[in-house]
This record gives sequence, C-alpha cells and structure tokens, in this order.
Amino acid sequence: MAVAALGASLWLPPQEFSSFPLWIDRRRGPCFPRIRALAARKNANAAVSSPSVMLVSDLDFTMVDHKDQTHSSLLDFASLWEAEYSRDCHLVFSSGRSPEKYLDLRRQVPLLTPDTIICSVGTEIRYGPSMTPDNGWEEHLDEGWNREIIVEEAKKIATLHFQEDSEQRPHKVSFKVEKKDAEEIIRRFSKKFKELKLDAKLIYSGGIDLDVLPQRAGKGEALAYLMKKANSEGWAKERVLVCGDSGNDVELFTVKGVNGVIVGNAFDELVKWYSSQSSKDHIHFASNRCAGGIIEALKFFDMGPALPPRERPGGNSNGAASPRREIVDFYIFFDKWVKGDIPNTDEAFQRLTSVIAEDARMVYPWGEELNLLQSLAVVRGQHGAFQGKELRTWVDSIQEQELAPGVYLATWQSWEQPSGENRKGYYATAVFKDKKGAPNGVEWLRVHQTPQKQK
Amino acid sequence: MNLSSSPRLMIVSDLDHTMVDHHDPENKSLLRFNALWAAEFSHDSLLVFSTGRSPTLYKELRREKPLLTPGITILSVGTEIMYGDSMIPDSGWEQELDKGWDRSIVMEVASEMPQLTFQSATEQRPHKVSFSVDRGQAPEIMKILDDRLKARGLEVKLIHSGGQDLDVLPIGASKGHALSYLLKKFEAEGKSPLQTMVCGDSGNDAELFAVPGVYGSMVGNAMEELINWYNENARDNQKIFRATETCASGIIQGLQHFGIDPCVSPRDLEMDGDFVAGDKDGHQAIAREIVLHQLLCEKWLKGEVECNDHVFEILKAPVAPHSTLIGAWGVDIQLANAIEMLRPLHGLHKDKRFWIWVDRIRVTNIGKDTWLAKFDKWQHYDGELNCRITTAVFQSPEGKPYATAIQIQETWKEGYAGKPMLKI
Repeated sequence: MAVAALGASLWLPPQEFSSFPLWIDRRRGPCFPRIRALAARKNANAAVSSPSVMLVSDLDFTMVDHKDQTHSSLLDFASLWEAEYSRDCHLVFSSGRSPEKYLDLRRQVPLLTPDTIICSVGTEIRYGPSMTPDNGWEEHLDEGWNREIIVEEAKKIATLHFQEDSEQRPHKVSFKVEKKDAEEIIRRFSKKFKELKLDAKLIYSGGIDLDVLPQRAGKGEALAYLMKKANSEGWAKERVLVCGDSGNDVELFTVKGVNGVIVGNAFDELVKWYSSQSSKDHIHFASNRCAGGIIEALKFFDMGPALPPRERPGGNSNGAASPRREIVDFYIFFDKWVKGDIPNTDEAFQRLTSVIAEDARMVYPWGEELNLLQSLAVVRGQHGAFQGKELRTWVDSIQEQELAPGVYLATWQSWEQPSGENRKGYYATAVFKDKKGAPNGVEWLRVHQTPQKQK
Repeated sequence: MNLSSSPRLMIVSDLDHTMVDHHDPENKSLLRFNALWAAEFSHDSLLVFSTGRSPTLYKELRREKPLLTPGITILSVGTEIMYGDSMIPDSGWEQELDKGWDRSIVMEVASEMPQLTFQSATEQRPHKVSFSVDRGQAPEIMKILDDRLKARGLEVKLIHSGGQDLDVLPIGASKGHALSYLLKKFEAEGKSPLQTMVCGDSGNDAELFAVPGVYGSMVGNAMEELINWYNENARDNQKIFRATETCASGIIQGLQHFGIDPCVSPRDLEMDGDFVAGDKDGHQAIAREIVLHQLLCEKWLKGEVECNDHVFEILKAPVAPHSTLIGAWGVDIQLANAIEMLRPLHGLHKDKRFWIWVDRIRVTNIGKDTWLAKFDKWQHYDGELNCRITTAVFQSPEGKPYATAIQIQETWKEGYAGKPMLKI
C-alpha cells in the first residue's frame, strides 16, 4: 500500500533514488499484448464489459501538463487507465523526445509505463518497460535515407542550430529554428532533397523545433505500422484514440480509422490545421487541458468509463470481482485519508478494513511481516498527516490472473513522492478472493511489497 | 496460538548443548534438524525452545546460530512463556508465578549479602533475580540466602548449575512446571499435542523429562547430573531415550527411535532424485519442495553436487513457464532466468562457511491446486547473515508429480539486508 510504504518514509530516513530504475522485465516484450489477452480470457468475469482501445498520445503538453506541478489530471488519467483500461487496452506514447529525454521526463512526472513508446518523432518504436526496439521499423526507415548529406547541408545554414547530441538519432536530425526563419529554411531543404533525390521530410513544431526524418517516418507512419502489426498479430483494438497538441501530431489524426482529440491547450499550428480540415467528425477539440482533454475524449467518443476513480463514489457499483479496481481504489483511499479528504470516522475507515481477510498478512517494504488488519491501525492514526502537503501516489502496470475459481493473483508497481523528495517505487504482489458484497467483489488475502532497486 | 488444531508433535528443547552445538562452527546437526523440521513438521507440529537464557541472551544466541523460530519460547528458566513470532508473553503464567513471590524481599535480602554480585540488568527479570557468586562457596551462600528468605516468609527456588551463576526464582518456577502449565492449557483448549518429545542435556532439564506422559531424548553429550537422574529415575521408562549422537543429531535420533516419521533430514538425502510430491497432502509436499530446492542451491554453490545438466534440471524443475521473481534487490526478472544465473556459480562457495536455511514456513491452500507459501530464507556467509521474507504462489496441475512456482517475491527482512557483493 502506498501509505504503508509512506509509513516507511515517515519512520525511516528517506532514501536517495538517484535515477530511474530500468527494469529487466522480459515478460513484457513485443509479445506482451498477447499475454495480456490471455489473462483477460482467464478472467471469469466476462460480464464486466471491457473497453478495447489503443490510446496513442503525445507527451509534452498533451499527456503531461508542464504548467500544473501537481499533475492532477495526469494522475486522474493514470488511475482511470489502470482501473478500467489497462487489462485489455494498449497504451502508446508518441513523442518527439529521444529515448534519453523520454527517460528524463519519466523521472520528473508521474507517467504510466506504456505498452509501446514511439519516440524521436516516430523514428523509433519500442516495446514494454525494457523498451525493446522494433528492428523491422528501423530497417524500413533505412531505405532512401542518408543522414550524412543532411548534416552536411545543415552546416551551411547560419540560422539553423543543431539540437543537443541526445536528440540526434539514427533516423532523426534535429535543429532549432526561429519562427521567422523557418519557412525559408524548410523551402531550401525541400529543394535540396529533390535535387539529391533524398526521401526525407521536415517537421516544424512548437514554434522552434525542426526535425528532418525519412519520408517513411513520422508519428502517423509509425502508428499505421503499429496498427498493421496489431492486426496481423491478433491484438488489434476496436477503437484507436490519438491525442496531440502540436505540429508533429498532425499525422496521427490522418491515420485511417482513428478518432482524435486535440487538447484544449493545443498550439496554433495544430488548431489552424484542424480549422482547415473539411472532414473532422472523427476529431474532438477538447475544452480541457492535457490529460483532462484526453479523458474528455474517452467520454465524447464513448470508448469506455470516463470518471476518474477519485471521483467515483465509494467503489464499483456492480461489485463484480475486479482486483484491478480494488488496487486503484485502495491507493486512492490512502491518499485521501492522509490528506484528510475523507471524514475521520470508523465508518469511513471501514472501506479498508471490511475488505481484508482476518488472517491476511502484509510484507512491508522495510522488511516486516505483519497482520494486515492490525497494522492498519497505524494508518488509522495518520488521518490528515499530509493535509495541505503535496504527495503524489500512483499505481502502474497492474496485471492480474485468476489462479483458481474466485482466487486471483495481481502484481503491480506503486510510486509515491512526497513534495520535495525523490520518488520511491515498489513492486507489489497480492492474492485476492471473491467476496460477495465487497465494493469491488474481492477481499485481500496477502500483500507483499519490495522497494524497487535504485540505480 | 497459531495452530488451528492439535499439533501432531510438540518438541520442547533446551538450547545450549541440546539444540545448539557450541563446538561446531558449521552447525551441521542444527542445520540437519532445521531442514527436517521445515520440510516435514512445520505445517502441523509445534516447536518449543526452553532455555535458561534471558530474552537478551536468547536474542544474542539467535544472531550467532541458525535457530528456527519456535512457536513458543520459554525463557529465563521457565519463568517467561512467549507465543509466536512476536513473542507475546503469557500473562496467565506471570500471574501463576506471582503467587507467593515477592521480588522486593529478594532484593532487600540480597543487598545485605556482599557475597552476592548482581548480574547485568538484562539478566534481571520479573520472576528471576540473578547473581554471580564464588563457585566454591556457592552451596554455603545458597543455604544462607535460603534461610534468610525463609525468615522473611518467602520460599524460593535456587538454581546453581555448577558455575558462577545463581538464579533465584519463584518456588513454582521451572522448565518442567512451565511445560505442565502449557500442556494443561492445550488440554483445556482441546488442542493437546498427539505426542510431546522433550530434549535436554543438563540438570535443569531433568524436570522436563519428569513431566508425565512425555517422550524424551537425552542428547549424547548429556551432562553427568542428567545421566545420574536418568539412572535413578528413568531407567525403566521406555519413553525416555538416551541418544548416542550429540546435540540436534541426538534429537533427530530420538525421532527415529520413537518412529516419529518422517525422520530423515533432507540434508541426509541424495540429491540426485527428482522432486516428488509424494502421496502426502499438498502442504507438506510444497514445504518439502521448498526446503529441498534451497538445499540444492546451497549444495550447488558449495560444489557439493555434480556440476552437470541433470542436477541443474532438478534446480529448474519447480519453475512454471512465464513465472516471475521479484528479488529482494528490487528487480523483476523471469524466474527461469534467475535460476539460470546460478549455473556458472557452481562451487563459488566451496569450503566456505556458507549455508542456507528456511524458517517460518507456512503453506496454505487458497484454491483448486493452488497454494500460497511464505517463508524466511536465511543465508549465512562467513559470519554475515541475510534474510529474505518470501511469498510464493504454487500450482500443482494435473499430471505433474510436483508443484511449480508461478510467482515469487522477496523483501529483505528488517536489519538483515544482503550486502551487494553477495548478489545471490
């Protein structure tokens, strides 16, 4: 539990997490979507209708609102996705960032672990937490591409400034160009490409970034490739929702068969493009910023539940067995409890105690194994301990399977970040059993937490 | 009490020179006993330690020697009974001992006797006052103390085991009385052990053997006083056995003598057989599998088994496809890969003081063919101890003779985290 782990940070000296842990999780390679589908079939609760969505989102100022340091809508999205979509859906981040800059971002904001990351403006496709590259895509981009010539030509232009090394990738050459010089430079490059019969294209976005990519590359092309792969490998989703805010997201909206959302804070260049389109029924221009706009679109296009778990009144209405929802609800309960957002009453605390088996035990991340109900008494006393203070907690990568009729095994990662401190991550495993009448149809039998390795 | 029904067997054992052999730095017999207990008895039997040591000295011993966690701990020469892992005291026993006991009188009388030196504070307990005395003068000092206390109206029990230590206890206190109290309590709850076996080596263990109805195993290294007591009182008692082997090996011998099966320690088995669940019920089979697997890991690392594929396949056998290990180090890997990492490490700890043992093993059936196991995995390497609290989910599908692990997670036990150099 987050707060159980919080208990650790309150009682023990905070530990230094110097950098983001890269997991060696081989169970989540390119074949991951198939394993998840198996897990879904095993789940006896077919009655719980499950969305089938591939969500493809840009990161900066689409999924991530850099202007909101509390990241509240991002956290809402994360909990909604984990509770309602993560079982059968596929989350894709599609970013202009290089892998290194992507990892930087992960260290700074509470991002879920996506199933696929398309980075470096659609020139790199990587799968799973271990970010396994798609070699087929790389080979595909090699044709008709010549990086050296582009670099040579760029050096001749004074108003063109190379971005830093981490942003120069095998199939991406990146510059910074002032708005006023952009049009001219793009024209000059295009002419040169024609001359040299080079299969390259130029993408200008954010009013400053100019990327040169293979013609075949781009967020749109990468998405089309991914969707084709999903079809041929049998894990295609019924709906695809793309989400963007800037120039380099245009291509996402033109992929056949997708729905799209332009977030409320989108850049001019994208808004202009949207206005100029004749066919735009498949696109929703959200009023909410960033992740709030994405949630808005899920509702607008009726793709699945769109009420963040935080806002759901006490638990799932139909009480069908869902360890996944129970896990998300549990962390949200803790968060609200320590922030004093729930009344400090026995009745309110019963939400927790009523779903824990009497002899359930928990292995806490600092190395103690205790009776879960008894140890929760400590949490009871922590009501309001974080009132008015910033604390972020979120869960990621929930996986569940039915071990035997009515018995479930779930694994996940949880994160907590008190304000001003480094984040701490935990691996967790829990065993659940059917319980009639419980908010999410299950009770907890055992939980085991391990702190994630600091790297 | 954490047992839901009568224990099949209750062992009540002294520690120093009975369970623990202070002359063996390798702790061979203790480790043999540990493996046997964890594999065959942990799920339905009760282990009780009964020692003269105070809580402080008991904890010290636990740091030095690979002791299992008993279900009940009787400390301070039978004056403290504690239950479970968290060692919850038995207040009923404290009240029993309070009868006719007045600690302050003992303190007053002792303060007037310069021949008595108080031992350290950790050795002074609610129902135990401990002194150091001159060995030679001990009998005389005891007489004086006894007389003076009687004059104050207090009858006590004085224990002097031949050395410098002199303990003053309530008249009703002793290892034997504590055991009788426990047995009576079990009977009242309808949970009497089917068999009780006591084990000891010295004078103050005699009372254990004297409890009616118990089996007894006197270890091979028993002291003269106990042997004399045996000759005088128990020669014809078929239920008391004089083992020939020392310490914990003598305890195992006792089990064998009385036919309390299974009584072959996994450490005495040949490691070339396959894991066989056997026809015993699932709890025991899985506990045995866990113990055998850890044992095989130890032997592999010490180079005590053949370095060949056949043996390594046995190591890999209890791994289900796609199963995961979340290691105490905080990484998440395929269980099969984790085991594979051992392959090149054959003999890494050859001739080193290295051993692994499993403690607090509990297996629960949570669903059809599905088991939840938890245990503490301890490793000792050259004086360094580490311990992983482990949770494992097993399934024993049809057609397979043994269960396979589908998920294992470990967390370093508080205070016993592994040091990075020993990344195993």
